[in-house]
Amino acid sequence: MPRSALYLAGRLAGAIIALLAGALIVYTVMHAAPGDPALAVLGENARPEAVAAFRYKHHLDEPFAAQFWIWLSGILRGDFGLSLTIAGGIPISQLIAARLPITAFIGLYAVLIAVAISLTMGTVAALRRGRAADTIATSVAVLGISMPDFWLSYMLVFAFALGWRLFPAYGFVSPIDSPLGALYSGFLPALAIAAPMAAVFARMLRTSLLEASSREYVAAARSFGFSAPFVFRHYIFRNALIPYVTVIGLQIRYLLGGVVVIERIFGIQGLGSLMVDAAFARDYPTVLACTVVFLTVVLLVNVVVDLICVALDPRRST
Amino acid sequence: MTAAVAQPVLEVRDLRTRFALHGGDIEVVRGVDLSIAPSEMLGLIGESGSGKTVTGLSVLRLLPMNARVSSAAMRFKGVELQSLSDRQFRALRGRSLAMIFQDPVGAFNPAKRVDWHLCEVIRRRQGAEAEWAAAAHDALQALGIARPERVLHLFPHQLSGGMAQRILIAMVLALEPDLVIADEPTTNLDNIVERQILGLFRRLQSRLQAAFLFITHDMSVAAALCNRIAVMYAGQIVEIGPTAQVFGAPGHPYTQGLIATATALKGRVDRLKEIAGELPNLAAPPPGCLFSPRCAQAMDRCRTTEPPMFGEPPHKVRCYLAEPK
Amino acid sequence: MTPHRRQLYARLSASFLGNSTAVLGAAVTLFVILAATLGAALMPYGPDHSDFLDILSSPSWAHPFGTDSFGRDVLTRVLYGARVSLAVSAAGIAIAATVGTALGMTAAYEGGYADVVLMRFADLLFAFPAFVLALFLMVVMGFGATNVSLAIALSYFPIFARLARNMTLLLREEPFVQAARLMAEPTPRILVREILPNIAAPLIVQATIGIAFGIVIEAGLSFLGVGVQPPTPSLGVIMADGREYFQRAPWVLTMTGVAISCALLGLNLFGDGLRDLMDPRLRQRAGQ
Repeated sequence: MPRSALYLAGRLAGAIIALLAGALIVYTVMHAAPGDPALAVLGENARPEAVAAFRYKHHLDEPFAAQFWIWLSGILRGDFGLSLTIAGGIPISQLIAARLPITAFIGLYAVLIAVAISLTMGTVAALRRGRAADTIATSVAVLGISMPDFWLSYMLVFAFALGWRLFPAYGFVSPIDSPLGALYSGFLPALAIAAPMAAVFARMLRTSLLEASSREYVAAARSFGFSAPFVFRHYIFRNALIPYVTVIGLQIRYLLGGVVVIERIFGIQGLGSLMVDAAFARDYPTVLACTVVFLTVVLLVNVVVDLICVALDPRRST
Repeated sequence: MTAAVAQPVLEVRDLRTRFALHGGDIEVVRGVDLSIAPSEMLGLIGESGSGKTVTGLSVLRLLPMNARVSSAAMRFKGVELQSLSDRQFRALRGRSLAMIFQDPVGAFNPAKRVDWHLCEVIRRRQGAEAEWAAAAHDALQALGIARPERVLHLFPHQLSGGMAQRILIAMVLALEPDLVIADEPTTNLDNIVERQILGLFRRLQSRLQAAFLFITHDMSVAAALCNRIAVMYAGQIVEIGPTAQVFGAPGHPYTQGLIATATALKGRVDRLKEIAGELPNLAAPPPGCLFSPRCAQAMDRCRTTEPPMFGEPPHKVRCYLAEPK
Repeated sequence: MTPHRRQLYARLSASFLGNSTAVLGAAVTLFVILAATLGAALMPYGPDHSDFLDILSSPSWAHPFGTDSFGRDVLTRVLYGARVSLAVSAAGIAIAATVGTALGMTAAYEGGYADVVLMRFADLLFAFPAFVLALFLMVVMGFGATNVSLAIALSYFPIFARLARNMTLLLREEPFVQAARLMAEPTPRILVREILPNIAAPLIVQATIGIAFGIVIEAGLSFLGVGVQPPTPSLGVIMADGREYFQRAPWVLTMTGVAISCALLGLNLFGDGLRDLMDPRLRQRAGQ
């Protein structure tokens, strides 16, 4: 037990370092951007006194290291600063706190749907290898990977919201207000994000199932008279899980990208749409904060996925 | 119990195995005849690629899906194996047929501990309620494994090759099979461990009184352990007979070459350096005797017609040189 | 080209043609490229030619993809848009490939601090969600097509860097590299002449998949309005257009998406086919 605690601590430490480094990089890049944030907010024709006051308030004249430190220490306390233009003066952390759960919900929903679809498709394709079901599943998977998720969301809306009026085309009920409502209104967005991911997962599962089937331990198991379902469950599937879970972890990077655009399309008040709105409003602190939060999510998910992989693979946990 | 005309445990006539590949079919086993009596160990020798492993896998129906196995007869204790359904065959595998693999660590489920493996095997043999923990402990101890409790808790990747092979032998013992096919069981082990494992094999043979098919490319191991030897080349058996006769007075030029190489290399024959040439391309085999392109004593007849088996049982040779005048 | 290499390419071409995925992928990709380049030029309409008498008409013989709210022929716009999207994506991937490969190979060859620093940096970059990073860069650098290419380049750079580095590490100790080193060949020469040809194949596969990825990023950014700026058509821009009147005239958005999907399908299949080709097991079975 102490061994895995040590490993967990190590991974978390690594994640924190990565987060700090990442934060530094984005802060530096943002800082180096051309243009004066004071003018951007107050307008080109702002009075010099107003500009000076603004610059003072936001520490814009202090050395870079100081600015970074002020910003960073704020974040560590949970204070991301104040939004400049979108919600003038409101603490960004408030905005993030309101929106992060929603994005997290949609993301998790999408992952669950993707896992469900891919487990079915991948297993069927591997078991019925070479036959019709396999070809169909593989072709569907290739198509799935080839569709941009925001286009797919429109197709889904077209079919299931406008055509057969099964799901809402717009609007999202927060899970805090109504879990069921969230599941219902969030289904199409989550499905749109999930579909391309499911395709990637299914292909990986199929490949790793087939790979595991050709390993010698399967022949050995059969030579001991173990039944086919038994061998599948304990030998093939169990050992194929590791690459499968690994690829899920790798896809988080793309999942979060999909969330941003999908939120815009379905009018979901999540972190993604916040970032887009902030981008258009040139609200640099908010954009910066969103980026850092997304980075944090990815790093955390990576740690979690890594822990799951370690738990699944005795070669790593002993 | 009569010793004289005991029914052979395994009887194979004209076994042919082909693989369906994208480019076409390849016949890897071309008409193999075997018969093994109880308590007898038959050594199957040949280079890599001679088809000896595939022969073993064919008997036990452990080949991948693109393999086609056919034979005139494949009888296990009188029962025709080819007439059995998959379910019936699987029942046989858990009880009467066993295989020992070349890569001992690779034969285990990497995700499960040793005790899980032993438990599954013992429970299948002795019933689900069996006291498998005690039985597993005893089985390991009987094979000379010190501190079985510790070993039972290990994962396969933590086992050495020798330890893994012992555990596998323990599992085979627990099955109490009538036929054991061992595919190069000591190839991946170092010499000292190898000798220990071979000792275990001798014990296995006397304990179980089972029939053994011992596949190897190591001549000295075969000479030490086996009662009879079958030499395989390019999917065919070219010489078969009691060990002393095959090694003492080999009839087939290939066997002679093997022995010469083995003597030079002290036992192992991975690639036949004494005899020039390569194994024939089984997708487009040469006419006549498959060994003729490499044979120093080849005659015209060898290159046109495939020789049948000549000679008095128990020692037979597939070569025109052995044809009685 | 040495006769050995010529023979190798001949065998590879043979197995390529035998691999239906690769051929299909190549065919579709080629079709898309031709459509975007020649096809666009052959269209009777220009991408900005508006016919206000024919707004938002559904697909017909005259306008296979219908017309948009300005009366512009959607098919023509899609073809020109494909040209822009492909160009933007390809440019970005080209930058990522060149810089990433160069840095990756150098880091692996030199080893030590350079390697560690580069890999940490690449890992860090890779930790950012691709689209979020791209969006962030758009805010910082400003909207527009060139910056989209740069954003794509930055997002995909770690993949090339890591791939080139790992493969170079494997080859570093090979005899032919040692020989070149002993002959006092300068490092850049060794990297380019000895190592690069041997690692080119997986890099090309990654590039193919990368262009597909880049198209999605560009389309997404442009769709949001932060990428390619109208009136320049790109697939994302056209989709953003079509979104305005999706309920009335769904074909604009739909057909544009179909076009994107075709391009992606072709590229993915082609990349898959190439990857299959390089799989050593398959090569073994093909008798190489």
